[in-house]
Amino acid sequence: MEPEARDRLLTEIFNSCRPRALRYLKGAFPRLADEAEDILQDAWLEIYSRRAEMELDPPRKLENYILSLVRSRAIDRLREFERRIFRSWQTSSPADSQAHDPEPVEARTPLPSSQVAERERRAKQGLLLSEVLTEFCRWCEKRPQRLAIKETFERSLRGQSPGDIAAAMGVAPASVYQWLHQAREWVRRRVMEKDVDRSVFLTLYGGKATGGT
Amino acid sequence: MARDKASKEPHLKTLGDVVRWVVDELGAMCPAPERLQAYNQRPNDPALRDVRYHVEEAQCRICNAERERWKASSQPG
Repeated sequence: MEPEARDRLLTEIFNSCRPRALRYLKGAFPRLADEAEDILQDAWLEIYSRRAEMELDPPRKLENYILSLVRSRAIDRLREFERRIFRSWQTSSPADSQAHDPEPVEARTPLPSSQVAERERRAKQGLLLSEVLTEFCRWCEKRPQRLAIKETFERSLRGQSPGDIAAAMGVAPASVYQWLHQAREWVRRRVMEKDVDRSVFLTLYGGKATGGT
Repeated sequence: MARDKASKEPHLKTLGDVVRWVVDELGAMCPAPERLQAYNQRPNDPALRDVRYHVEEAQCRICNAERERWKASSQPG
């Protein structure tokens, strides 16, 4: 197929998929409803820049790819919110940062440029809570016996009490306590290993918490 | 424009807020796509009961939108 004809077909497929992609974005990510057009536009630019490698036949394959791409870009945007929230907590009011920042006062004096650069680098690498929980799910899904830990932990994160969880899952409360302990311990260890700038660690264990895990 | 974007950011004050937000809106506890697909095909499979909870009881919006999309794309035409 001639490049111009390919471009026309690509544009046609994308445009025919547009209403479905918008509906999907607004349904799955209502917070981003006003940005749905933007996200779709970014996805189009990404697809167009890689048009030579796009398979156009059958069109449904490309449509599925477009929808997967907009989902990823929507999650990227939400993760950017999450990153900003953690950063803002790290640099919040002096009283607040004293409560959560274990560094000595002298460490908070103006930093030489190398230290500023290091902080920037670390901030970019900072672990997000959503990433820790996603990794936790993949860990659970590797072994069938861990699936109960996943379900228990999700129920707990959504506000169910251990007693209610035990009743809903038809297991002894002791099992629920044990699974919750395993889940929390996994998350704690993961955060300690990977949280380079300690943003999640400080949030989870530094006193910012008032609920949840 | 910047103000518009800022207004869409969630206002999260506590860890509990963050946990609820990442679970509800970021899909942090969503099953792997292949397990969600498997659930579509075998909703009564005991090995997928965590997915059933996630989709049916917790009513994850992201997974349900995904299921809708699969359903639409599997229809002929």
